[in-house]
Amino acid sequence: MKKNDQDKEFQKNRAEKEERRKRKRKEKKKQLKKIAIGKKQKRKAMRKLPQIWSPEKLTLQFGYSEEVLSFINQLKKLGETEKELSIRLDNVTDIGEGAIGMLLSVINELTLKDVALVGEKPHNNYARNALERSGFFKYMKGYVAPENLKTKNIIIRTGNINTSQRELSPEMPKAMETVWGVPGRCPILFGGIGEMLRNACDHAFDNGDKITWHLGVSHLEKEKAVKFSFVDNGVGIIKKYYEDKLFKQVKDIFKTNAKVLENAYKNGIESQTGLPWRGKGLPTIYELYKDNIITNLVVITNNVYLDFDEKTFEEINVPFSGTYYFWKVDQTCEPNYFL
Amino acid sequence: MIVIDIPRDFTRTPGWRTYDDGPYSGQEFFDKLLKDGFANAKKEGVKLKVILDGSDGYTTSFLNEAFRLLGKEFGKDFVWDNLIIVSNEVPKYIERIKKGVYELEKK
Repeated sequence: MKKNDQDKEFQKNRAEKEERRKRKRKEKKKQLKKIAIGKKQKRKAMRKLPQIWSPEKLTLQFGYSEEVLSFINQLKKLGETEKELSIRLDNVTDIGEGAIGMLLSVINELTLKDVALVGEKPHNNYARNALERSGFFKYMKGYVAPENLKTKNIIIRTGNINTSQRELSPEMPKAMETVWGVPGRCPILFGGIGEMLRNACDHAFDNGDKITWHLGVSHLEKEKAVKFSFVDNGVGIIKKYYEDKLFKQVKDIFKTNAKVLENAYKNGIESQTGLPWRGKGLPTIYELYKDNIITNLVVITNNVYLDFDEKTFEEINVPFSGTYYFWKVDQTCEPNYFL
Repeated sequence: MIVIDIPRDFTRTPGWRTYDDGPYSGQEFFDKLLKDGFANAKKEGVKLKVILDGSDGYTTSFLNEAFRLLGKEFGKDFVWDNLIIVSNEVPKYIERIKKGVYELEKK
């Protein structure tokens, strides 16, 4: 009798267990169906939105920069008329930290204009991982693979004129640790970045309230190197120079905007022209490069592309409204850190 | 000798030029510490020692504004003759301060 009761209890439990399993399977199936429908709907919705496709090489290296700047300008232009946009990075195979910062900067500009944005990540693994690791998704919704969350990389966005340099403070010891193995301060570099921020406030924008800049810091642990990119979406240095009454005389001497800017960084405007020229912090930034505190310094502003390593000082056909800096600190640089 | 140690007495993270530029500007440093420090040193007949080392880093505009105002207030040569700047970490800052005192770098 007792055994019979135990059998009944066993059968009952077993039936309940089976029921639970069935329910779980059903729920899982339902969930998967829901996700599939979601994906289908997303694809359908994205097809309907105005789309903008990134070039395969989303990098601001000379030779690729014009195509990227065209993409950025097109994005800005579409943002003036559209309320929703789909940014397609599907075909990207190569992605640079600087271009990510520039893209984020434009996305921020569009978001402030209430443009709703959706997008597709690169299908290429290398490019997708680089994007996920960059810090881009701190500001954008999107899945980041767990292994890409373990990174010191960061993109810092500053909101207004009163945003202090203090936010950058913890990033210097992290960078020095990656390059030199010591989490030290680097006052000369920190001050140089301060000059860039100051320029963004002083010269980049007509309306001080709208100041936004992005500083990207990417750590290459194996190479013991750190890449920095800085971008503001202001009017750009050359365009601001046009407001200076001496600019025409300066331009007459140097002939091209690229030569004017090259000399402005190298502190040669006053010495070569005899004309009073306000430094605007540019020589201080160049000094970092000259003193080998940084390497690979690149500047893009308006129609000028300067690559100090490659000695490329050229005018480009596709202008960028704003100022972009890229540089690297690696073991070929002068160790300049303090505990 | 009177000593102002900027990272200890003011901030480790100095800002930019004026109050309008945000916190810990060169103007704020001049108003809160530098002006009185120099005035006291002058009264006591001693030099003013300003220690820059130990900070996160200085912008040209911070240094220029603080010491430009000092030169304007107390006289350029007198200020330069009675200042001791300690900047072992970034010796270049001394030249930038001199430019500020003598107003060689315009605002």
